[in-house]
Amino acid sequence: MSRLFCPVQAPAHRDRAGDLSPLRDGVEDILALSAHREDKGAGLGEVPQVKEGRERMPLKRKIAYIDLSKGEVEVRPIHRDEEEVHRRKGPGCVSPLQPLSAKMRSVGA
Amino acid sequence: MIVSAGIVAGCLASASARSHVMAKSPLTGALGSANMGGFFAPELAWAGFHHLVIKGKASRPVYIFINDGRIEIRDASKVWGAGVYDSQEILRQELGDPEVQCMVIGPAGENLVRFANVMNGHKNAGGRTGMGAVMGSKNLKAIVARGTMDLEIAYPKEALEYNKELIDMVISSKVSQTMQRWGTMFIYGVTNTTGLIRNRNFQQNQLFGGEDIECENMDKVSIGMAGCFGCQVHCRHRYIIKGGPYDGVYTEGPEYTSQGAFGTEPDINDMESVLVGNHLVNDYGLDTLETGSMIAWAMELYEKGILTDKDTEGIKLNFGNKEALWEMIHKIARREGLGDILAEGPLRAAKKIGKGSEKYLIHVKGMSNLHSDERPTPSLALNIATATRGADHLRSRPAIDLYNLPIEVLDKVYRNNPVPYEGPLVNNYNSYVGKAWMVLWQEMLYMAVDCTGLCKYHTIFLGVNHPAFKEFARFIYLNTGLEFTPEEIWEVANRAYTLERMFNIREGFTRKDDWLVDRYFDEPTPLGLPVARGKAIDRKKFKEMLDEYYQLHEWDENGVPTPELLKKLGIDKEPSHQL
Repeated sequence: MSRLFCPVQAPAHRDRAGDLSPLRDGVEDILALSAHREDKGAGLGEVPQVKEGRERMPLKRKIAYIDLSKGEVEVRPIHRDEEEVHRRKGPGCVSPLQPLSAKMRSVGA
Repeated sequence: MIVSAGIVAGCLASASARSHVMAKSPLTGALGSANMGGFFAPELAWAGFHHLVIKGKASRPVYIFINDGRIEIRDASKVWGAGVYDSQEILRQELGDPEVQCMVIGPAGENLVRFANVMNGHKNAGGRTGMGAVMGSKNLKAIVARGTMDLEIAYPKEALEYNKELIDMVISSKVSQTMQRWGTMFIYGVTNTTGLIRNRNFQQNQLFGGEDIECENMDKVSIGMAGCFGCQVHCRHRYIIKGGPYDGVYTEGPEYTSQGAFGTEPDINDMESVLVGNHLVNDYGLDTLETGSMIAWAMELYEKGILTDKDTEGIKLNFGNKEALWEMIHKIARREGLGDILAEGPLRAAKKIGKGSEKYLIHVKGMSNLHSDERPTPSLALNIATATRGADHLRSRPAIDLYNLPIEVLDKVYRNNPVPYEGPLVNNYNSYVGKAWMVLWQEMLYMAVDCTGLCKYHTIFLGVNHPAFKEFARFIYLNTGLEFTPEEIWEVANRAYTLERMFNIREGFTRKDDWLVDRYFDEPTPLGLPVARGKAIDRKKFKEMLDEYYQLHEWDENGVPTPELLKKLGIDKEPSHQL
């Protein structure tokens, strides 16, 4: 039976067997912290407004298609239709020609 | 194969260092997906690209060099065959630039080991599902990026100020401060003493007297901590092995996962085993989890007489034998002898070995599990059963379920954040109630994190107070100008997760693949504290939990997303998942 509790009985761990305190991080404070964040207006409340006359930031990001068999490279902007991007705001907004996987973990920028 | 940087990679967002690599998995035949930290993603972004779509196979070994908007395919004959560490040094010297960042494969990827990694630096690993083998199959040794181009920030002053807030949020938490000191190795102290780890290939759930692989023992070899791009946590050790056949070797890590792979799983209470095992998988470019699990499985087969000395070519593959463990790592990477069979991954290896060996595999969808024991924790069991890339702790694990948090805290995290949830939440990790929602919520959060390119240690994974949907919305806006509400980010994550699900369905995966191996149900945990001992997963309750999980997802009883859901998400006409 003693083997069953060997890790627990080891001197270095006697006082912290099953001790979740490093993991229960912030349990005591989380509610207070949440309230604090709300007081500070964290979240979307502090997002600055687009300045008058300033155009929306163009996203100049690119995707490269590389064909190793042919040794060919084709570079395209990620967005074909920026209006569509801003309307749908998601990976479904990219070109239907874009392969499935590229959309999976791309927010759409 | 698709290589992606996150939406805020290289911007003013803390710990936005992650790259993502995707392809059909050579290990499972399902979704192939690997996420890597380090410095590659920001360098790729500064070089002008956020996504690479790579197809075809080169006629000879090559590497791709991306340099400030230009892309070249170069000869890799000088670097083919080299380990992960040397490969990067050779490429830096060839290009005459110490600042280039490499995503490389090691010999394991070249040899098409089905669980080979892509790597950056010494230990930043895109592990799981064998993306290194995909690169190897293309004769692609490396992708090298060098970028000095600007990324325009939408609101630089505000983005910088908000980043400081996020840093404070993360760094002020005790879990981050513990990670700064010990890395993820600190988790082991709790999980082993409680009885939540896998030992002797699932035969036990504690490593007896396992104090030698405790994080505190890293003080003997660690020479400091290191971090990824833009991160203040610095969670990985830099260490030099002292003594033994690998004396003087420098590498980085190990993570909690390698403690399990080369400590708890093979029943070796010896830090040297972990340090050397970690070094070997880093340099070969092997998935540490899959490697450790495959060897532990082989050890159980050897113990039971299913594998013999003839099969192992004389290697005494007993539990507790670290030299045998190291030798098997070499053999897997080089595809020699039994290693060639293990390199095929769980299901193919079991088919080749036969003799009932499949019974002892611990896997889901053909991918081995982390060295954790989920029998006492139904939420974590559901997480690994349903994750899109197979048994996996990084897709949907509600790790904070282990903390037995007050209900008020669970309400804050899981309810109306950002979408409504009216069901129950229970702060008892042995319970089956309310856990389906926790798994689903974490799925959406982790998908959103992967989309941003953020590290999961900077969200609600191990730390309760860490950034989540609201914070993502804000830093995406400040950095890119793209406006998302938290609800819209949830929808993006749901869309992407549904696509992953549809991909697997297209490849033939069904409800029966969202299930656990029999040992979870039939063999109660023998060890641990009362909360973890004598526990097995209840089949009936687990089935009901799976049903609830499907319903919450708006999937049908077979786990197929409904037409209504696809339409709502705007992917009903998506061509790539239609049969």
